[in-house]
Amino acid sequence: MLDELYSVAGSAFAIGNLAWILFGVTLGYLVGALPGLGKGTATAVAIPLTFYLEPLSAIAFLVGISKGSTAGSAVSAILLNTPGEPSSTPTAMAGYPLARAGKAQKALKMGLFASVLGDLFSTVVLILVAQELAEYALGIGPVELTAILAFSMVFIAGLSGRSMIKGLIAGLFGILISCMGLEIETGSPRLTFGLLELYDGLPLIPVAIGMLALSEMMIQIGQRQRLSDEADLLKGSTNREDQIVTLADWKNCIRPIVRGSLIGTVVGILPGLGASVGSFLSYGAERRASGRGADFEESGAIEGVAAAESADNAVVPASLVPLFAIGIPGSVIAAILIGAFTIQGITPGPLLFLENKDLILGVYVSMLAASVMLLFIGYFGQNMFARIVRISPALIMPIVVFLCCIGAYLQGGGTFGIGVMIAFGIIGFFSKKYDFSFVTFLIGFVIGPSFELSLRQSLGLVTDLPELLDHPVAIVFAVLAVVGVWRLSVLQRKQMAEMAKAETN
Amino acid sequence: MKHVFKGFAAAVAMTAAGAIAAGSTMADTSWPTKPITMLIGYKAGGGTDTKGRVLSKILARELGQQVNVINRPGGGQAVALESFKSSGTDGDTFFFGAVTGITLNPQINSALKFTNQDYVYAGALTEFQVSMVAPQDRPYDDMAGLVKFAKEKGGIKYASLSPGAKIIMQAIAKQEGINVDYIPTKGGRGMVQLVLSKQVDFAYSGGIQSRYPGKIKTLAAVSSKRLGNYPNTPTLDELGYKGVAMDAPTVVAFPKGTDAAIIAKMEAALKAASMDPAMKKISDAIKMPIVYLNAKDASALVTSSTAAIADMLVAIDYKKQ
Repeated sequence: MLDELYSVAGSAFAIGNLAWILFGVTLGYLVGALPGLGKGTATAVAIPLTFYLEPLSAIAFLVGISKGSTAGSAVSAILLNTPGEPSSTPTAMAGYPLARAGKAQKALKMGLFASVLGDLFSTVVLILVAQELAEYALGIGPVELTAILAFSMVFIAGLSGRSMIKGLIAGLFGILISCMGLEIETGSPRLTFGLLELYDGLPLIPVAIGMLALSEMMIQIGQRQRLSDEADLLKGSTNREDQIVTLADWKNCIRPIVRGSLIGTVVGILPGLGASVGSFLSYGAERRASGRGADFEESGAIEGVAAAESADNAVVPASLVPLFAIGIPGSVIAAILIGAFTIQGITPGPLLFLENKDLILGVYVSMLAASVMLLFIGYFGQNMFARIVRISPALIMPIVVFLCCIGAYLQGGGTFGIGVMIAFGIIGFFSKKYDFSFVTFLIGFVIGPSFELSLRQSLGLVTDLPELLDHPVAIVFAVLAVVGVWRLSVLQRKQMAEMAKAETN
Repeated sequence: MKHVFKGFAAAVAMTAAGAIAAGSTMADTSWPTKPITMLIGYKAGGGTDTKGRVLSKILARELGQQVNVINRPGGGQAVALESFKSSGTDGDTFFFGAVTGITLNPQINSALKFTNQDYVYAGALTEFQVSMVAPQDRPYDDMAGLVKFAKEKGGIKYASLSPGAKIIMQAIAKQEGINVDYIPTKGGRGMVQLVLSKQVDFAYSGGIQSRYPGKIKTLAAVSSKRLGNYPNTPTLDELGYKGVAMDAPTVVAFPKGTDAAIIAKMEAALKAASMDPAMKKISDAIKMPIVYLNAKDASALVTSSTAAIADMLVAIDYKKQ
């Protein structure tokens, strides 16, 4: 493996490529630090613009954005108690009190170190695991794939919002929308309303941009939060100990970082969970293990910051495992990355390692380089980022909306793409308001065609019920899917009951 | 001294011949006078697009004007063809793509409002190696063996990567009286996955099996003449399956009514491209041989192919979608 990586190091370390990785990580860090902009938005908007890049630089750039953003979200979480990304909510809970106590710099630095370590660990796991999984996945036939996709959908629906029913509705709606276009076997048009532009279905990029970026902008514009004036936080304490990460801090944090990295990696590989689940699980585990409980949020806890940040960063590279190996996107970022691959003419999936081996290896090396760059950018840019988080949203949003329009135009076939983007911006706005998981919708939309195709292929391949026993893996996943629906809805009903009880008390 | 005279005479002769030839291709040989557009009906990065871009550079050199490539994907080239049908007869835009978008698709999809008669053809350049393939380890090596296998087993599983692929197999199945389960796939790669994992007995391919030597075997050629890559493989027609041949060259087309002089000039440029080393390099890389057809032959091919497909659709009682 190592010599394979070495052989592509030449192209990965080319100045142009490194420049794009650097740009991606920096942009991502910035976007993450700014509350209101997330990596989903940034990636969706950036994809159309990567069309003119080399495939390696394009993918490395986009992954760099994800990495940077997940790390940068700690900045506004700690300084302003406003998580730059939902996955940094625990960071805000444990880190903001630290900042109020004048320990902002310590918290920011530990957050960065934890992010980088989690990220590096997960990237190594990705490199080691993806190809093995892909080789196994080559033997995954349509029957197994159908079961795995159904299981993924259930998992994603159950964990992406407060209501499993709403999640399933959103996911199935996504699958329905994905049916638009020419039917694959006979070429007959479905739901195309006579529009030639819809013959290949709704274009993914405008849908993603609309649902993720545009709707988010609409919500932000509606809320117009004013960030409070706490400009002096960074100057804070003059005690040097509060500004650096001491050996004692490292001793306290090494365990949450290791645990967080592991949790984040596993969460990333499983489809549908997302960085927030990773960071919350890790934070919760550290909270329990430390025995301090609610004190974590009272006086702040650097261990909590470390746990949350290492986990959420570990999710990102790991979430690429199912994408590279099987072609199934397990997260919103992975789903959008499919669009980026498609633009370059590459299809993620088990054949990826056979046909584009050099590209993937180059991406691996670039990702490792990105982790290192993340460390430097986060460390030396802290002052700058601390200032940038205070830029008025009124300046940022028009720029983002403009970029959205450009992207939708380029990748959606002209003004048709902009129309699609606006339509899904509105749909996304309402689904966020009514808690219909747009994540589930988007993933349903992306895997819908694969799901339908593999289902039809399965129906053709398995002509008699006994033949189904030839596919044990499929049976296992199908059972898991059914069990999942049952268990997750029971769990949710319990949670709802607890919440109702808490409210009445 | 004699050499110089000979050379001079030769030059004069050639110039005279050239002038006569140029004069005989009629009036408007000044086309193109500004950059022209090549329209491709697939997304950037695909096989047709890659070939098209190489071709566009060669054509630019031959015609003396820039050739811009525009991708207008959608509906199996339908969006591109529909949009360009009425785009003007001054030779500004031409289409490059698989001919099946013109010969087959309008006959199976009633929403498409164009037919092969809406265009004039300047020539064809390469040829998809359309064939019937099977996993290497199957016990049959030809169509006869496959049919025997199908009758013994009671049915076979066939991976069909496009509506055209399904139609051809339906015709064969009807003729032989065998049961076939049609497993749709997403393009050539989906078909390859099913064949490599041995989940199907048989499949239609556009030539992608050349990338997997030793794993996929070719049983028959679907084209009307033997394929460049598989000269020893019989065609379906030779094997007794009449009327199911589907030729899939990539053609260059202009909207109907475009000046004949423009067509002729493009035809000549295409001929030069077919012998260009850059073209050879790319066709070797994607294993799709160069098969040049001039304008007349290309048009004849389109007409006969359309008619043959029409007959095939009638034979299998096809209901237009």
